[in-house]
Amino acid sequence: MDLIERYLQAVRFWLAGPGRFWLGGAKARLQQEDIIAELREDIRSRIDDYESSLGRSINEDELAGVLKQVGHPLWVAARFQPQRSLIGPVLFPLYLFVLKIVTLGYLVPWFVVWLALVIFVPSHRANNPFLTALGGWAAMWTNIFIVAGIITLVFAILERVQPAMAALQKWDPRKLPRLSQRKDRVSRVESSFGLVFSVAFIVWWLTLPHYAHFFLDPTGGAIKVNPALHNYYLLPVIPTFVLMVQQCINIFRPHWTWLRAVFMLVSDLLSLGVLAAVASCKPYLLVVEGAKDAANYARAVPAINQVISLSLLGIAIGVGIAAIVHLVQTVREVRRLGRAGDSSIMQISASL
Amino acid sequence: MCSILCITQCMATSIDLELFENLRLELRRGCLVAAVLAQLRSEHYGYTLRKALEDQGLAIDEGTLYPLLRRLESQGLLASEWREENKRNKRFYRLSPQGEQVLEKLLEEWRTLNASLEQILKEK
Repeated sequence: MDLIERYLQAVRFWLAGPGRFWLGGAKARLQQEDIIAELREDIRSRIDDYESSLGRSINEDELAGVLKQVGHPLWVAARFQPQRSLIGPVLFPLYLFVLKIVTLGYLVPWFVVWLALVIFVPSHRANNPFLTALGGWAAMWTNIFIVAGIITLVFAILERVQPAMAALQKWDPRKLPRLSQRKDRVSRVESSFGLVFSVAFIVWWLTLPHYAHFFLDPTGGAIKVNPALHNYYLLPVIPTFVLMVQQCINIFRPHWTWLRAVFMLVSDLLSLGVLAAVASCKPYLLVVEGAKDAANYARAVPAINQVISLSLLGIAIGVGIAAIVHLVQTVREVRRLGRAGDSSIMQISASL
Repeated sequence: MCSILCITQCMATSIDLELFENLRLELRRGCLVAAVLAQLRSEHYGYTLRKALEDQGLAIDEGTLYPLLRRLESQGLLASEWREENKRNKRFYRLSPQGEQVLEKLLEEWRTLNASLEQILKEK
């Protein structure tokens, strides 16, 4: 019978809960004792029944079996507690929404900047790239947990204070957002204009060598482009060419919305690759030795190279964000295609 | 291939069982209150009440029964008292006057629901 008292002691512990030292007065303690007394009686009645069916007293193993049937002390105690939650069902969707927005708002720019730094700033990954990356990610996770903790705390306080309830009483249906309409086709006008701009860019880029000297002529030939960059001259055309293919197809197949998302993602990734290749060819501009005013230009060129480097970093961050957006769009389109495929299969099976 | 199909089938079955179990519990929840109130038109202590319900095909574990009894008592639908029986202290429950009125209304609602459901099933 010692086992029963040990069991009831454990239930009493969980009934009181962690706040037993400062919460709950004499009334709460009386209630706990009442529950324990009733539980003790129930267990004894069970044992009486069991023993009368066996025609003998039960042993310790059988008693342990009876207590196991009653349930774990924590579980039994929990059933007597009122349902408690940190954030209730009214505020929970809002909490989840804010958490997602804030986390994404922090995570996405952080990831893009980190990626750009790793690709474009050699000093960032100087001696030990693995530790640099790991350290950076550890800092990011720490910040995310702090932000998530603060948001949770704010919502837990809101749940207790409940000013949101008053706001929910005062609302106007006319102020609800307009119906969002998913585009089920890529506009032909959009594809045509995109194609015109793509062609214009390619023509401009391919003819660039014919008038590039206009930019550097004022220096009297003292500054020249790093010859290593000439190897990458045609590379920027590739992402634009990918977009041209998409635009051409979408003119004839406007309902292939998935095509735009996929090709834009591919174009973004190619652009990032091109930017990484170009960024590795430092210095971008060189001073021609022996040229007139070469000494003066030698002082200015490092600053110009720095500006170009930062510009490339900025462009890479922009393209990185675009790539993430296009990745999300691609996943959505693929899921939509999957659902459409499932429903058409179901239609076919139904017709069969 | 066969084992993959079997695993998929088993997973689907376990999900179906879980879904059914959840729906069954939802369906039972409302009925249990009415059943406990109805059973307590005559006095019982916890263990005999559970046995009486079980004998009539409505098994209920003590983890559900005792918190329910306390809730119904705090709502004024039940009255209880500690009394000695067979040299042991037991808490006896019975329906309060307010509980009797509520039970009547609940049973009326139950009959209406049951009739509606029967009607719907007949139409199909």
